[in-house]
Amino acid sequence: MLNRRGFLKVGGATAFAALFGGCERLPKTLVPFVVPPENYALGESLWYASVCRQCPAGCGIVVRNSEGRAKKIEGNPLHPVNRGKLCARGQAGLQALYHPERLGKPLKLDGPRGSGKFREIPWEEALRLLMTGLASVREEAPGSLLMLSEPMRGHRNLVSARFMKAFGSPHRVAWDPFGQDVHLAANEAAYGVRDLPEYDIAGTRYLLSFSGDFLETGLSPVHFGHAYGRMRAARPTVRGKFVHFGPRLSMTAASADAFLPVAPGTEGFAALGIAHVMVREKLTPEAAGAVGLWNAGLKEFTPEAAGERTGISAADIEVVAREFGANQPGLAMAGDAAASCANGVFNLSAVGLLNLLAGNVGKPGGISFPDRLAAFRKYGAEAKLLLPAAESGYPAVRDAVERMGKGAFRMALLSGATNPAFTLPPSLNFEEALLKVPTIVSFASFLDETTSLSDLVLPVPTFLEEWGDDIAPAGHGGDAITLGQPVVTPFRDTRSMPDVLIAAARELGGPAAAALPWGSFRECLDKAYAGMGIDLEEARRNGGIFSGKAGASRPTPKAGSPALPKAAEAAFAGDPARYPLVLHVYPSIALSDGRGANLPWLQELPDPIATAVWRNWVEVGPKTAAALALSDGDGVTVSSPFGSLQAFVFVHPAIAEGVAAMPLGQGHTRYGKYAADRGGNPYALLPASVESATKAPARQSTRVSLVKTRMKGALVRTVHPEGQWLYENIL
Amino acid sequence: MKRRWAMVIDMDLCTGCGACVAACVAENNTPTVGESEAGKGRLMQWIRVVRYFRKEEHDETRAIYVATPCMHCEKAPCEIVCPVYATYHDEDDHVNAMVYNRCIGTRYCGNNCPYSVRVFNWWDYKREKPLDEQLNPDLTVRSRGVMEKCSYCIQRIRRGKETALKEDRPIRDGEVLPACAQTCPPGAIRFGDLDDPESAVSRMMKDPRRFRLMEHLGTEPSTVYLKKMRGPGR
Amino acid sequence: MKIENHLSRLDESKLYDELSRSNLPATKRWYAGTGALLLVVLASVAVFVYMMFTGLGVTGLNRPVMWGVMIILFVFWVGLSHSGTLISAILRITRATWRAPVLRGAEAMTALALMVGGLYPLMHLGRNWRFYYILPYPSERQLWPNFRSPLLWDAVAITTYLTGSLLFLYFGMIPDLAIARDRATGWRKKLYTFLAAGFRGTHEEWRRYHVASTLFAVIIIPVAVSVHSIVSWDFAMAMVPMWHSTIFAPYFVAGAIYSGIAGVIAVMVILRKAFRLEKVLTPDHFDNLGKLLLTFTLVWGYFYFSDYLTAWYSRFPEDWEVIRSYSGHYLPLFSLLVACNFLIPFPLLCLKRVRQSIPAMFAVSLVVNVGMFTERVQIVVPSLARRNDPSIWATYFPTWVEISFIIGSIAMFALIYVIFSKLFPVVAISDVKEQLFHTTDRTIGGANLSTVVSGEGKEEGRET
Repeated sequence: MLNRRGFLKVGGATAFAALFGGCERLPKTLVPFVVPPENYALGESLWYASVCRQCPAGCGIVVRNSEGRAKKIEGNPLHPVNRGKLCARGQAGLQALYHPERLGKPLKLDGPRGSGKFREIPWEEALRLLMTGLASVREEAPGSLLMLSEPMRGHRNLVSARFMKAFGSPHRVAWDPFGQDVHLAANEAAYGVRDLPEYDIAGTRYLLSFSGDFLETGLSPVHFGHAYGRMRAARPTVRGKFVHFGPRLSMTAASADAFLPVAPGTEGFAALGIAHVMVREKLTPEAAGAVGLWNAGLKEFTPEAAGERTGISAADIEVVAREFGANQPGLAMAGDAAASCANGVFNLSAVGLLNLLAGNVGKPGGISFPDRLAAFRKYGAEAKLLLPAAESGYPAVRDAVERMGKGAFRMALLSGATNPAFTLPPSLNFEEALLKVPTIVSFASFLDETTSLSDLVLPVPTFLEEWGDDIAPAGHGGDAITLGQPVVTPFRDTRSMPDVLIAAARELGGPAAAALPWGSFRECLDKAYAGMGIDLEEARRNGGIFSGKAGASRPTPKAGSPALPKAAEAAFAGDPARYPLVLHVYPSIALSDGRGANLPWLQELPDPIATAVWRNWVEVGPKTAAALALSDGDGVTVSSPFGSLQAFVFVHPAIAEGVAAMPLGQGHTRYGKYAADRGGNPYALLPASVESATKAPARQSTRVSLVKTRMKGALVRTVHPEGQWLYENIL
Repeated sequence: MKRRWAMVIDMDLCTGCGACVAACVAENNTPTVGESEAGKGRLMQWIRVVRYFRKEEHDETRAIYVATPCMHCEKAPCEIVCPVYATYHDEDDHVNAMVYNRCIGTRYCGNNCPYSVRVFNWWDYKREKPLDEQLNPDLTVRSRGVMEKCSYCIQRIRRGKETALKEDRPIRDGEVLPACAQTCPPGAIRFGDLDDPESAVSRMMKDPRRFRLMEHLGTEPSTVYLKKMRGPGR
Repeated sequence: MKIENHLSRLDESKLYDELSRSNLPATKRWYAGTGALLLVVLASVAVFVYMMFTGLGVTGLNRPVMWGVMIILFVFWVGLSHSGTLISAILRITRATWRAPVLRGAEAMTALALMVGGLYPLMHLGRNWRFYYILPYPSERQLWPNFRSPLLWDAVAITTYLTGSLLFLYFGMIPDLAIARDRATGWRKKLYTFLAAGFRGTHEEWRRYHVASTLFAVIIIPVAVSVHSIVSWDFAMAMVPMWHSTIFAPYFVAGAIYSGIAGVIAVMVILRKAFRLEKVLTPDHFDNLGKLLLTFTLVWGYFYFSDYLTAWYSRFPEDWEVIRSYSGHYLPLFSLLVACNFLIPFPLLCLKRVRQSIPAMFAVSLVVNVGMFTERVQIVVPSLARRNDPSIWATYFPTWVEISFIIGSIAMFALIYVIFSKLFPVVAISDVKEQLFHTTDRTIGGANLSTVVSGEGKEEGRET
């Protein structure tokens, strides 16, 4: 293994074949070439740098290519987000590339609508169908074209946006169940910046996490994992202390020095309790000066009051507050579970208040708001398209679903992996609404619950086979633009979505063609970066443009005058008498929002807490289980007012009582044989509730009941339930 | 040139994320066995991240993760019991080597490993096309009936040594890393040459937090651990 | 038994007829029975071939329980094979005169049980077709097998014992084969002539025969002891909790002899019934075998208790988890073991009434064999299932493949035994005659006593 620069030098700058029309078959002979392609040496590997798209973090990767096949993905050591490290999902990208169920040819519906029965058709016919549809929609009612995708970044987002705008439709909806709407709103309220900060975990001395599972899922788990490692080990005499508040001992909480179980939706009260103690005892200069805050109502949020609401003791809150004050720089983070409640903005604003009282905004060991788009300012208004706000798009999705139901759309273009038919609450009736759209076209690599509803499926290359660029939403200071390239020749008959849109625009002519004036997406990228005065070949070899100079921080006008957030309580649907437990759902580390479920390596990765594989489960605490007469491994029916499913019980020894927790991601009905029939889909238990201020999805808003049910089989756990308590035996 | 490879796993940094498991599976052509076989205790992963629960003060339960690759014991109990020398201690690299095509599958080594790091090929595992395109050409795909286990990514060690030899220079510390060590986000897994006094692992060996699993058994593992610490106060 | 009917009253040919009833030409019933056994054996072989081509995944084995029914069968059958050694060798050396009718059956049991048991180390290999790697043959790569491995000692020991016991069996049979040769016709005569190796019953041949038998008896004892010690070291040399115990060698040898005696009793009961050897195998023989069995109940119980006590007392953490499982998950197994190996046989065998009742002895011997099989299970499985690293504890349950191997092993043993007893004299005729020769009748007071003259000329009386 060479050092960081070394192996990138060995790699070629570019993939060794033209992209478009790449339907060459994989070489099957031992020495397949009479005239070998450039950069090819038998037995030697080439390393290509690109970007990982297995989750929204956007880590940089380098991929080993041996005789034309991708063999191993590693983190790109030059990339500031992940610094050469990579998570399990990143590693599993190879299985998406070589998946047996990957779509290799365009598919046309060959049965009833929504049936998922298709037959293969050639690209000419597929494109003809697409163009006919687009042309007629544009002529008659351009506003009746809907684009529903996963949030995109980089120039592919720019291409999609320009296409829709030039086409004449305002209906471009990007859906991400784990969007950061609430964080954005809370940050705006607390700091005055509607953006996601950088958290200097590596430099902090006291880390408070409120339901933030940042080491496993969330915005950038590899980045935060790496930073966590540096927090603990990079400073000779400082280890830092990490305190986690949350409904359950998650993998992240397991790394905490102290875990305090709080009832779901009460994170904000816990934070205010800490803030109260900080101001009362003047634990930091900022807290000492926060008299206005105190009088505005902070004095009511005593540790006892907080304790009552959250379930932790007042003494604990005081101790944590004092330690936090005494060990500055301190840092407070809140996670998705705190955000996706009806009172999400309150929770997160209260947590943000702790950063203000710690006075860590813009300081080492605290939070800062770099201008991540500094390199693209020249685009003007369109720069935002390269790194749009990481929102969920929920209000727009709901609006689109309503319009679909009313027949407002004649054509829908679907793309991405966020699988609305799987991840949207069932009460929205997404499938029914979507099928009211007469023509549904999907750009997809796999047939999942959503893409199976299409009339026409256009196969796209996986992220390892296409050109692109990306700006990571976190983990850098505006000094990193990631460049993606194919690491293998695309070996299925696929065309990337931007390429298809560009070709479609050209054929449509008029403003569309003018808006997308390139021959291909690659040409678009080449032209975009040509004007930046960099050696694009070298940059692609390195995996991106890393200037090493962080951009200027964005101003945080409200940081100096902390305001008391308006307290609000979380709301949970369902009569407590009938549904006695509060449901806490969380994305699973292996499957994230569900997209990883078709990859065998991820299905066989034991969950860090339940140690289960190939199936999901429901967690309850020992007292709750005893009260419900449930034992570890029992089958239960989990019912909410909105849906029900069956699951096996995992008695979790460190979860707030009265809470039932389930990981998200399993429960697919379509999506291939590795994903299908592995339990129920917990998304189907969820209400369509929203967070009150942002209208973002409030997943933690329902109660459930657990009723013992006979189920076939058992939950496969890789750590023995009795043996898991005997750690001393291995010492 | 002789080396003494060793691995130090800092439990204070390990978050339990399992990236090492996925990386190892990708690097070493490990088969996926499916739910039914996993339920029978037949997972094939060479490294496992074991989550233990512990009751700590105030009767609170906490979790701790023990990433368990092969210990590459200096006094390996698996080596002496193999009747055909399919596993032996490599003298040049001080790793416990596995020779797949010598193994006749008595599974005595698997029984004698107290850490249970050895796995057995119960079947000829099928890799559905085109997933098999991903297989690493630097090492074999094992047939049914042979034992396998973590090799400290010996294929990477070999390549590293060859490259260094070709370029007429010593191997730099951190240049040769098994897949698990390379990918670990918090950097909990460190790997290097104990015969190099300047290497990170040589330094870490002197750490007072250092311990070995089941040290009383006298197997002298080359994979050592650094104790997880707990913050002061509450 | 009335004097007139006593064996010693019979003339030679009648005596021979009495003792060699098993060698009568095969009846339809015999063919049917043997055919059925053969079918079962062939089915078992077919299952093995399926396993060989598919992989050991068809068994219930897993990590950490990597050894299961096949190793259990190996140890069990090798244990059973200690029957003959004890009966022939030890009883010969201690001059236990009652051993005569039991001799051949027991020696045959030794060799045949060993043949069955010796298959399993080959069957349980992951790559059976490469089994020869374990043999020290000259190879171009100058690779030797690993002589430090207990499995290799196994291979040597089993081979030695098998060879030894086959030779022991054969040499012991030579005089009887000679008798058979003299009375046989047709292909049998050819067979017996070949095997009898020209034995004519001369004084010199008899003298050599006695020297050889005694020598064999003396030599085979250490071989037998070492074989099962070596088999025990497959376990004791390992680092597995509750395996790593210094008592394993004597414990296994005692257990083997224990199960061997029980096996002999069971086989003798069957032979007695099948070939109407009531006159030869009397309740007195079973009484004595019963006393031997009782002795070994105590010996086995003593070793088992010592092993358990020391492990339980010192509470090494890894051992403790296995012991704890005996009262937890493995309580049924443990209970069955203690009941069948001690609690049931011990009190019963103390009673002369039980010992002299043939049905009762048969039942007790089966109970002991079940108990000894359970003991093998209890040695192999809980120690692996609850071993050092608690996170990968698992359970083990045999699949249909392994169950068919159990049935197949019994069928194979029965099959070979049946064929053996059909072809060869299953009672050691010359030994019986020898004993009878030393028997005379005496009238002492009002009783007629059949008395036996021992080698030193002493007389012992026995009521008839």
